[in-house]
Amino acid sequence: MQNSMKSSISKAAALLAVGLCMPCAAQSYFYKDFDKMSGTQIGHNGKYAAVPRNENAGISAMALAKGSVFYGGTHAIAGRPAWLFEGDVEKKDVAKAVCLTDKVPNQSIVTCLKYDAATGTVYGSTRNLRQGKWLPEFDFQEITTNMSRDENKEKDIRPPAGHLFMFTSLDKITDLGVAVDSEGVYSFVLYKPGNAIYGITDHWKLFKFDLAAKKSKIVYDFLPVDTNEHNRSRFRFFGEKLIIDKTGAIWGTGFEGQFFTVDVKKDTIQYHDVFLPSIRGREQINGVQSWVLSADSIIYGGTRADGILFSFDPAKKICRNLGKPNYSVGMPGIAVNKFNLVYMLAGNRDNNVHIMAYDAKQHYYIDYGVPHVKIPAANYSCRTFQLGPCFFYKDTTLVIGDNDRDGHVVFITTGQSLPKQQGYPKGE
Amino acid sequence: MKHALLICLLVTAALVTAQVLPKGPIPFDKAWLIEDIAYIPLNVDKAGSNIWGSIAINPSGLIIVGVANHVDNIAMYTYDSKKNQLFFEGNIMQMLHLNMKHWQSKIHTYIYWSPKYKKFFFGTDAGTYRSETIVEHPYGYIGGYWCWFDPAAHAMGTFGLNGMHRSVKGCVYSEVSGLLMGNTDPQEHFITCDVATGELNDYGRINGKYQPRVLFADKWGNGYTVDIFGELIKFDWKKKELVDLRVALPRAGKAEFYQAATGFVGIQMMPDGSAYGVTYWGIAFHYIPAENGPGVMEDLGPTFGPDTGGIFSLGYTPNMAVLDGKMYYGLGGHGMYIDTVKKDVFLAEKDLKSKKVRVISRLKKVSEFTGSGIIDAQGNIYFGGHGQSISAEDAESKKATAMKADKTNDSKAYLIRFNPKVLEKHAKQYEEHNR
Repeated sequence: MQNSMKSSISKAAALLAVGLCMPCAAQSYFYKDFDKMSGTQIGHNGKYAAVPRNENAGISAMALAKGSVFYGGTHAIAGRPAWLFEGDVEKKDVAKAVCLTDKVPNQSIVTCLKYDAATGTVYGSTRNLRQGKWLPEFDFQEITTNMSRDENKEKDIRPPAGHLFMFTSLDKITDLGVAVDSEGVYSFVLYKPGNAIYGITDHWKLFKFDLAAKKSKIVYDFLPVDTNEHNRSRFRFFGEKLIIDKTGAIWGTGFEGQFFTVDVKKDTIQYHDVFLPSIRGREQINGVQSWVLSADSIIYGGTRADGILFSFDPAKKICRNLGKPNYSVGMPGIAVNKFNLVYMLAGNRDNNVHIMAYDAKQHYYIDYGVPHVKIPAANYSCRTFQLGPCFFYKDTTLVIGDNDRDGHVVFITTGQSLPKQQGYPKGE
Repeated sequence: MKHALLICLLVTAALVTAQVLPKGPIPFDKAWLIEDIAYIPLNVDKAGSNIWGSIAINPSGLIIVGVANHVDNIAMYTYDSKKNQLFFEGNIMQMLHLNMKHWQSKIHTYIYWSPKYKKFFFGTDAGTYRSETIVEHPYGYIGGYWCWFDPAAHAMGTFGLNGMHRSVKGCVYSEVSGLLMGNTDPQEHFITCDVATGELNDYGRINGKYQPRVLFADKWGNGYTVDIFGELIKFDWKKKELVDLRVALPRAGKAEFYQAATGFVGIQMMPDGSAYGVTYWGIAFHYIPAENGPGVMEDLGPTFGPDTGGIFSLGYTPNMAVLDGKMYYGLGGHGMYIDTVKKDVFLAEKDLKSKKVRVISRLKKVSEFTGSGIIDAQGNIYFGGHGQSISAEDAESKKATAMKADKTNDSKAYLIRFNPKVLEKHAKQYEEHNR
């Protein structure tokens, strides 16, 4: 105890010293460069990417498949088709891209991709925004004004409903049909024992899609028609992601960030006495934005309303608040490797997403700032301020989707440990 | 009744004192003339050292200039070109009732006059690299505002923020579409702001490397900017989408990619719907847009020296004015000078038919020269001019110390006026530069 006390005091002294000589090291303080970082365009062909700019409003979903092959999906301006692409982490390349237009009709955002290793199949989901609104800035409005619950039902002009689809190669994409009528799909999990997909819609319904019967059923509605005269429930958020833990239980977060499991036998949900961390008073709009299962069965995730990093132990049902890494809200992506290093994309579109890392053993953060990426395929470099989904490949390569118009894939080689406490100038 | 009158009087007095009235008029002083070029000093208020695109003229001959101090304010001036009178309109922070968490220190966009609304339109900017491009300003930056200025009422207001932490780097206004179309720094997100409704739309990133400073519009109401390869992107306002025209600016392939990503730095929209411009790599061009399709791009050759087919990177030209078949522009600024010792701006004239260039003057008081197409009814051309400016974050750098020590470096801002016909009599002494 005393030792750790001493070391923390000496750390504080070192930090103070670094703080004093800050002006000379200001640049590297915020923008510590990774040793190896490069990016690529989607299906580049000469200097132009294969995906037209209006149909590449960013990378919205990615999944690692067999070996080093990975798949990704884009989102487009409302009314334009989304694309799927296939890349290789080892080659640091995305060579193939396919438009969804005649395969899964009228779909402009690929929201989630999941790989089933047993069958070598990738499953995906989509959603759409209203015409003229395509950036997630407008998502909040889109969801909260939930017109179907409004008195003026005739004004409820919904965009096309989201679909589920599957493929084993990009040449052969199978449309599984609409998940829930008039609603898009935020995300889903593959529940192999029941041969089913459990997902969350953008109007907050938990659904089950039977893969054998190809039929969908609503398991739970988080936002039933509100009888409250003030109709406040329209301004609520829930967890947009589900996750399966080591024991096979499906977890999610519902009302005011309360954790639930899906009861797959009765097809309902079971709330547990554990809540997401939140800044007080913002629980109603809180929910999981991203989470990931680590090798030692702990779930690490980030909240949407506040961008708080948390760890959740499903066995003990303990959720720990690990702090708010960035000044802005949201955490669009998170990945963890076997060295207990949690890499997160902290921030949202209104602010700027920083790549941040958290050492889950030593308990400290490193802010890598906004990456400046070389794109060798087209011979230029760019900064990427809006980062989207991410995953780890072989615990040492972090793959990130750039979630802005004309999105790129960024490959970052990470080490087995983080640099020393933030603030040390490079090389020390 | 007495009390009511008193209260009435007090309220009126309070209102009168609360309104910021313009200072002036300041009459034209002949001492401002050097070789028939007028350097009208814009130092009425403490704010002000730098002008970029922030200069415009309206049909009644009123010129508006915004002078940035690169720290926390922008001074607004108007110059009546008919009466030859200068007015100090006020500081933007006070005129917009902003406090320090909303600090704005530059207008980087061009300013546009709207005959319909009788207002000038523009956007504001942080004006520092640290607040925008790398988002690391010590005090943070809230973002730029879309603004209007009514010269008759001396009033200014906004259409709201451009977006969190993003400045308005460039913009163009089209009366046909009623849209202010602009781009952000960082990331060059293409933004439209409807001046009738204030509706703001973001059409996403175009250029992740750099933010072009200048945009133009065609006669159908569409806006144009460039992407990372120096190729034109058109915003089709009816379809509400961005179109890749795949029309490269002349010799963009020969420029470095960071130059290409910057695109053009000076543009003048002509009454016939075409546009004359100058690229960052010193090539003048004439572009004739088409309602559908790519349009016609004409290469007018380098801004200085003989045309060897290459680019010309030494003459920074964020300025130009086309008058009577000739293009007038200044060469020099941002560390790019033809005369690297004296670092003054060369005033050049390009014949648009023969594409030949000759130097007609050297500007004695400024080292950078900005604004495009500011021409009054008497045939005078106006530009904004300033010495080498020092931004707040660079104030301690070696370069800044050297600049401060240099006594010849005048960091004041000037409104520069000249008549090319009058300048002709001084042109002979600069003939040596034409060889």
